[in-house]
Amino acid sequence: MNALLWLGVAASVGGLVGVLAARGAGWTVRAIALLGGSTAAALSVVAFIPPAPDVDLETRTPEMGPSGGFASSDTCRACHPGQYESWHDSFHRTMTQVATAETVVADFDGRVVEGYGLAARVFRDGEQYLVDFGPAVDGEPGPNDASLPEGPRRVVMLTGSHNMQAFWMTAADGKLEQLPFVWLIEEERWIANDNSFLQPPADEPADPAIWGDGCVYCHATGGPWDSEFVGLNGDTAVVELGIACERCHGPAEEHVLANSSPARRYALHLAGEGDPTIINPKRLDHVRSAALCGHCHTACEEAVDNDEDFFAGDLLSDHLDFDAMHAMAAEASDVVDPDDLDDDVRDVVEAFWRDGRARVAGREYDSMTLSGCYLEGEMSCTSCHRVHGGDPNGQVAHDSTDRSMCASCHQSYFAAVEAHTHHPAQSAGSDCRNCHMPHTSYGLLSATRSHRMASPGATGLGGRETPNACNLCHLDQSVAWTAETLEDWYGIESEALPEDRAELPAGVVWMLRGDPVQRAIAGWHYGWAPSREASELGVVRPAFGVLLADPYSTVRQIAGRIAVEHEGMTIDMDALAAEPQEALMRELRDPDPSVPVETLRRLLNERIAVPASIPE
Amino acid sequence: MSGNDPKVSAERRVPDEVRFHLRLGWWSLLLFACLGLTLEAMHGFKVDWYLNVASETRRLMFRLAHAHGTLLALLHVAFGATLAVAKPTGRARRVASRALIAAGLLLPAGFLLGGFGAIGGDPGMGIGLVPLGALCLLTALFTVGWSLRPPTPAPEVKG
Repeated sequence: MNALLWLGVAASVGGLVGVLAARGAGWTVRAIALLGGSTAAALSVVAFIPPAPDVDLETRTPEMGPSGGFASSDTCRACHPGQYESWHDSFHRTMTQVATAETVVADFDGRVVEGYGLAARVFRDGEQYLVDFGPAVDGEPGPNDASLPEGPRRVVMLTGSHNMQAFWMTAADGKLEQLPFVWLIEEERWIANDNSFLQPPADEPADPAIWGDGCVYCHATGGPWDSEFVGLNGDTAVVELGIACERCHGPAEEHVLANSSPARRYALHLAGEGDPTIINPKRLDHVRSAALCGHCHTACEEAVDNDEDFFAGDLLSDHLDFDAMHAMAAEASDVVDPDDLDDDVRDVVEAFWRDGRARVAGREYDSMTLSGCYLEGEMSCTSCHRVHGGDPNGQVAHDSTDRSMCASCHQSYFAAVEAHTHHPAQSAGSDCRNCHMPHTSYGLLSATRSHRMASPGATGLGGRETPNACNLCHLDQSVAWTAETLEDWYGIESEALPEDRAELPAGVVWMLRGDPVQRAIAGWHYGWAPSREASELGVVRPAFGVLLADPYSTVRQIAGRIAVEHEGMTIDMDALAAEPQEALMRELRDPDPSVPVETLRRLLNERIAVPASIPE
Repeated sequence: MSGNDPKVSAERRVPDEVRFHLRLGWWSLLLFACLGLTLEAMHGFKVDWYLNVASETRRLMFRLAHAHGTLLALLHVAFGATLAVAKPTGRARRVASRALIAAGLLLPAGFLLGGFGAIGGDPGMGIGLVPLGALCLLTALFTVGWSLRPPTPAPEVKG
């Protein structure tokens, strides 16, 4: 109404000006001046009319804004423009966003996406992103469960902006529920949400994730801590979506108020001291500093008695019981079928290898805090990572190399690198991380580095055993070869190895006989540049081909992606199913394999049957 | 010697002052035009030290130094002209002149120093010169305005 009023006023004034300007001219000129003046004035007002707020979107997304001592990142910008900008470039900021044309990268182009017995048409209507689970395919009823509501449902929020985007839509009861399909950003395709997790094949989709039930805390700022909280949209109020300034610096309202006084600010500048009204991770000891990242990058959900909200600067061990978590993981590490465990125990057990390293990406704190560098030294997450000034991919400091990161304590090794590594100085074998932080965690259809800094060992031949760093690069060599080499070079003695597979190429053993996580990680390493350089790939190729028909969708997708990229194969990734991929495997078959076919078959028949479920 | 002649020196004192402010104004204008050119050049050559997001405060301070310096240069010219035309009273003239000179130094210098020493969103300590300069400027403006008030008519002597 206001806009119409302004439009009318502007048109009238514009017309009047036009008429006055044409004073004395003929009637035709005056009429043209009146019309021209009105139109010009009206158009200039239209240009300044702000778009109408999307009330529907606002009511369906969590209530946002400063509260509970939080001030929001917009407030921080005025005084810390550089830090604001570097954070703004990070994937932490875009962890969760309202679904708009600027934030959605997925194709909502009217296509029907299918998977796990579900079908949905994803499309746009103006600024709205919509999903229709109803009869959608050429007017024929879709395969959906009858319980799914018919009619379009609006996608209001999304999580993820780096590897994949997951979407949130309003359920019938008002909860924010995850769309059962995700968009792979690099590959530009939709897959079923369940296919993005490493989990056993199933006929039906898992229950959808609910935003207020465990997701909100680590995907937004100022949300509720209690993962049992089930919120309706509106009462999962957050300060802002995504990981913002106050996740690491603590609630800033007091800081903002105190520093509205220039005298106080300049007194602090002159004194060169920290401001006690805000947390600066640089000024924390390494334990409290690591806790800032750790309260999300952990698998621990075992609250101690004092389970008040964690805030930046707190000791995480005051809130979470890590001893209980590691004990739980160790006790249950021999369990044959994790399905027999309670959900809570199962989640913890699935998160770790037998030696206590996290095997799930995003749980880096749990591994790092078991490292000597942390326990005996002062290493923290910020020793290598920078939220401000780091590369958004991995947040590693721009000026960091593996050597600069490790040399602060381990300078002696760098004086004679090759004497320590027995690899050429500039090779991947002399990169500290490749031996001490191999890619042994699974997440987001990829392998990521272990954050438990440790010396390599001849491990990985049993179920839930961490694949060792040497053989992840030398896929064609056996674990026995690794044991001998480690003893020869470093005097490291290995435990007795299982005779039936110790002498076989480790990559082949992991790909055929390994548990699902070992297969995913070994498959990923088949495409990793240093492994491809160090290994005779022909030895491993036949086993790699088997991964294209792995029962686990994520293993197939990892293998498929690598086969397309490195083997030059043409694969319809959407059609890659857990059935013998004869045509594809034939391309990778070796008529005279280094490992006899009978041995390959035996390993496949002995495949570790313990299922794995990693929803990451 | 004409310098010892009280009549001549009183007549020449005003033109000297006028000339001084005019010269100061025009030279300052040149100086701050050069500063403006430098700032534009830093934009042109994308100098990170100036254009980086973290340098937002520095950029603002330098722009303020340029703007205030230029404005004060013009004020010197205007003040010189005012002296020549309106001939304010001696005391007011001296106060306004000194205050304007101080403002012309303190304001741009304060902003420049504030820009060089910027700490995050706060200007450097040099910004402390700015309020002093502002006070001088207000004093100068007020004094000039006051001195140009219409003369009070002399009371008529009756009888």
